[in-house]
Amino acid sequence: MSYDLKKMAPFIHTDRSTKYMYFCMLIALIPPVTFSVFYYGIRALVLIGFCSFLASLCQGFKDYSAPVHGIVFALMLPADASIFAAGIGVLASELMLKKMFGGPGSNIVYPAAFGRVLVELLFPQDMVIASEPGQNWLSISTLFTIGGELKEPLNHVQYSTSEIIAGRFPTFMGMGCSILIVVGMLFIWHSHATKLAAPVAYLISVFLIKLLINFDGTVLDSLLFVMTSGVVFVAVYILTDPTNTAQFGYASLVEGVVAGVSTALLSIRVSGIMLALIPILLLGLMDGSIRFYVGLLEKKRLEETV
Amino acid sequence: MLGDRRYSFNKRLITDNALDFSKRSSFVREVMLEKVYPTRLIVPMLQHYGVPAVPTVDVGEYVTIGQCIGAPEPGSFSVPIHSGISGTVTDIRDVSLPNGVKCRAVCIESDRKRTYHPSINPRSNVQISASEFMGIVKNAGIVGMGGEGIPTIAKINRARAEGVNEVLVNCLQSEPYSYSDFLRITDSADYIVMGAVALAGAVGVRRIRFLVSSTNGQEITALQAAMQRTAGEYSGYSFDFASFKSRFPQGYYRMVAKALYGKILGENDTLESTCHAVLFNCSTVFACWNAVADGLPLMSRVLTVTGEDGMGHNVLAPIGTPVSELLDSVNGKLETNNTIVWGSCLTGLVMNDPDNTPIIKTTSAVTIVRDADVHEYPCIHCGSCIENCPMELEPGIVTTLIRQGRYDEADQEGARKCISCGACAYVCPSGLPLTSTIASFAATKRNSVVSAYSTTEKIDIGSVTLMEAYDGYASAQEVKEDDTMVLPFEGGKFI
Amino acid sequence: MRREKIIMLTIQAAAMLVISLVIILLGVALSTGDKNDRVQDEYQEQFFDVLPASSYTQIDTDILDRYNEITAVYEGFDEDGTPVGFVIDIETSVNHESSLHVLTGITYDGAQLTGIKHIANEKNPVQISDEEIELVAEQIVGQQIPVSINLDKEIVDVKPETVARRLSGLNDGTYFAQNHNADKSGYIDFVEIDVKDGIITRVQWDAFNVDRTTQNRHDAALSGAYSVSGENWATQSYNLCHALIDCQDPLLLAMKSDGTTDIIPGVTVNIRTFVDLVNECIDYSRAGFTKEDYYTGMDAIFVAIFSGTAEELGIISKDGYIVYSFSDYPNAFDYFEGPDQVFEDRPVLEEDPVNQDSGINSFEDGVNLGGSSMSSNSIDGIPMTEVRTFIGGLDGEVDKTLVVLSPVNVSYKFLKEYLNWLA
Repeated sequence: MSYDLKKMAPFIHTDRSTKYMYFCMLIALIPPVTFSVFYYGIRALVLIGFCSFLASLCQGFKDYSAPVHGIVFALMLPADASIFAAGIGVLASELMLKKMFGGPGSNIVYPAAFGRVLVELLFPQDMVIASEPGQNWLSISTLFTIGGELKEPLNHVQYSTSEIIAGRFPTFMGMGCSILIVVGMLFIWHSHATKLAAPVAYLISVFLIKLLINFDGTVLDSLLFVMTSGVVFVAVYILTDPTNTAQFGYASLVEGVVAGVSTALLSIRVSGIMLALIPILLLGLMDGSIRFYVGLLEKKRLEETV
Repeated sequence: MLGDRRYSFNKRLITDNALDFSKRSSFVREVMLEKVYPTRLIVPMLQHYGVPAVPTVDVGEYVTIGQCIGAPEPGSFSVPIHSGISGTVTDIRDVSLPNGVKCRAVCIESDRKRTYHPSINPRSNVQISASEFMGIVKNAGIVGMGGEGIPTIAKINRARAEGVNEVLVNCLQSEPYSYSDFLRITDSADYIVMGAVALAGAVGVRRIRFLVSSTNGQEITALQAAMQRTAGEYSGYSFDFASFKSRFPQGYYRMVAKALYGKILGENDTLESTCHAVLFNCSTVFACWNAVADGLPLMSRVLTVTGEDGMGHNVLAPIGTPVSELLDSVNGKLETNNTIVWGSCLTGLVMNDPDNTPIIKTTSAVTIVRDADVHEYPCIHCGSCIENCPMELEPGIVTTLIRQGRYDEADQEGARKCISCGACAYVCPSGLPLTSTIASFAATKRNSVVSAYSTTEKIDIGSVTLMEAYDGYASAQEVKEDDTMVLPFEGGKFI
Repeated sequence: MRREKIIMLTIQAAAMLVISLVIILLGVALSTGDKNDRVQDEYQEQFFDVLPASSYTQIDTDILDRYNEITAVYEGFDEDGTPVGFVIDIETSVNHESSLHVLTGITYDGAQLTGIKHIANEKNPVQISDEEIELVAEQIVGQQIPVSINLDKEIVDVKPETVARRLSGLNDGTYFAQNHNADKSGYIDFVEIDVKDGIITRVQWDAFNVDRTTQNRHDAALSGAYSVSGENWATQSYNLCHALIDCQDPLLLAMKSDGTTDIIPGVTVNIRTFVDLVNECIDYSRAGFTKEDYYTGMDAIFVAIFSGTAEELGIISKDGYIVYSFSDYPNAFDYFEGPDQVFEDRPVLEEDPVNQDSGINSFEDGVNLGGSSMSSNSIDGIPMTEVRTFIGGLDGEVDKTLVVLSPVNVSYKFLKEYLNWLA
């Protein structure tokens, strides 16, 4: 018998290819990108375009995972970040994390998360949030200054609720408007690109645990925390990556809850981007084990019916 | 009567991870049955599980519809083969079928007269005994038409020997774009019911369960109506419907065992031995009653001729119709240069020579597939293949092992359990050729010998060997002559 | 992916873009009210002490480009929307190292100071305590601006060399230089400067004619016999000379390559001759080569060429100038007996640490001529004649007082320009 492998069954293929999945992620990223360009101007556009382009150069346009990771990385930067730091972050995430670990699809943690944490450690003064949305729309000087004069950090404390809902408070570029990110999530759901069990579980756990540990806080406080800490962004765009998050039933729920609980507990001590990303990185490392053990439990459960 | 639970082979809490093709076919409403009258037939002598039959006609001889043109050698594990058209035998030559079978075939040129064999007569009295029924089934050359091709008589006998409690009629056809079973049921529900009764009687049980897909309400209606109509013809039989979710793959015996009985079959277990049930395809059941009521041997079948673009036809064609003639009759001139697949688009085989490749007793579909270029990207470790594998394998990991040449480890991971359903490769976002890699590996590793003029080993499976079953166990009416070797019965499709 | 799929995805992408924009604009619309409230609350918190008003808006104007010290300017309005004044956020730097960051509140006509508040967030704060600022503030809030220190009051530790900008190495005396050749109208330009205590205190730029019956250019201009484009030449000369007195260093006159300057109001004539002659005079001052020495030096030329002194040759005018054009004798000045010391480098401009102004060294666009120095003529670049209020300041701490006054005066200067522009 001779087998021509190419001509063997199955002869049809699902439309849900990797290209499609990442293309849908690109479309789901349109809302936060629009938001950041609208409020932060030319430098946001330059940063996003540069990071996406550089990532694609590193990996090529095979499946669209490189531009997606580049854009996600850029959206986690403050608007005043310099091109230099952004470039270092992208190169670290693409070359160090992806290529060294086996190329696209084999990264052990989400590349953009890794790159962002690295840049936060290497260039802390460059990663300070120093611009309000709507300021300096045309300015590009911050792109080229790295850690020049000390920037004054801004935070969301004195901003009103409606401003926070609209995303008009100082934060990282794409993380401001949670509503837009939810729109992105709805698109992912509609297009069946990836599964959403993990992000939903994550957000709910963060919210509930935060509610629990803040005895005197109100529901609104916890909600505001969720909206201002950037966890929504992380949930929708990082926890939906199939390589680093389990996609089936129990395992994705478990991962979402684990990450959510650790984020909420970590928030007692830490704030800022590290709060959102450290649980994600740890989750990425644990992802393989969680999938394995959940699968094992599933198998045991099914075999018990014999 | 209608069970209200829905069975699925992967019961998980939140999501049910199998493939749903119920919405894929565009011609659900198109239930017309077209008849094909080919100009010639190529009838292979080996269309079943076993050894080839021996031609009983010579070149130049005139044959009629229903005439036996191939007979089993005495004592061999084979079935008779009958002609579906009348005409002259032009050739008896070797053919090579896409499934790797090489055997002789009787080529008949049609005289367009449709002359029936004189022995073909409708039976006036259908109240026959079990042994009479079994004799009819054996002589009509009926085999499992769902794709396995096991001689039905062997199955009946083994069921009797193992002692089963119910007969299952498999009305699940879960492949996309395949609707031949659906048509058969809605068209001839009476025959199905009566055939099921006859089989149940032959096997010695009173319970009959129809396995239907929950989205095919018309099948259920048709069967229920048929039950009412035929209720006077038998008594003491109980019917039940088991409703399955419309998923792919469905209807494979191991999955039925798990879904219906909650039992996981080991490698050498059968449905009969472990679950005390015997499974027949609905087309087989129809053929059984067709043989009883109309005296017709198995010489034609319904199959679906379809393509990805959705224009599909259900046709009734004589066994042995060359595929090119089949396509001509439904599509006009065969103009496509796309790939023609013998079987469904997920589990079929490519055929290169449509002029000389016939449909056989086990062919349920012919699919025309667009030559799509599925680009292979790196594995993204998403686990979709694992989710959708009905055999609970990890196709991604097994493929990696095979590609790295680690065959022993691949075996340990269960590569031999693969049933080549194609679900993993279908669903893989990166377009990896999982099915082809694993299935071809499994085939080379398995001890399967199909092309044969001679047989090989005999392996005892369970308490009854198929050979013994074929010839009737403990109630054999024919004298066993030699103890010829028999092939192992593993179940499932194999290549 | 098939074409239909790609088209579908493109349409979906466009839809997402539209939806995002809609949501963003909705967000803007809904939150603007709160945002304005919040901003106003912040403003109220900061500005109310300085300029009481019910709302404030930030002003944007190109004039701010010229005032590097001013971070932002806000206009205050009362409930009816009538403007009440301005709040200026200004950080003046002192000697390039330390700085003082204050908010000044000024009435709408730019004339009166309503408040001054120290914002203590400078990187290198100047060494003045809040009480001292408060003391000065008490004296100036509610007064007319600009403000200066009352010079009549005895000032103990004012040292002449610390209150003015001056070139180093100038010797006292009168110094003189004239052009070697007459111009095409027959005028020979000359510059005469007086230096006292190392500071140029008088400058004169005029020209006498080789035709001794013709008036000097100054008088000719005044009588209308000599005319130039723009202001009367005499006025321009006067302004130019006084500008030089103010800034001391001819470089600060910002002469462009075509020989004109933009920064002295009314002066449009070519000042290259003036600058050259002034530089010559300055070098003579450094060498101690007085006007008498100059004339003696010139006599050496006449002796060498014509074998007689200027007096003997009868070429001295009735005002005492040697009226002779050496255009026929291009090498005549080889015989000039110049000063013993010849300077290759420019004199150093000394700037007093206390009275430093911050906008420095951009000669291209107009820069304050005066800086935050106080001389007898000006303070912070504002002529003393414009100063409205004179205070006593801090006892014995003129420098610190001037530091506190500086932002007020700079605010005044800005508003003067801004309001003029508005008018």
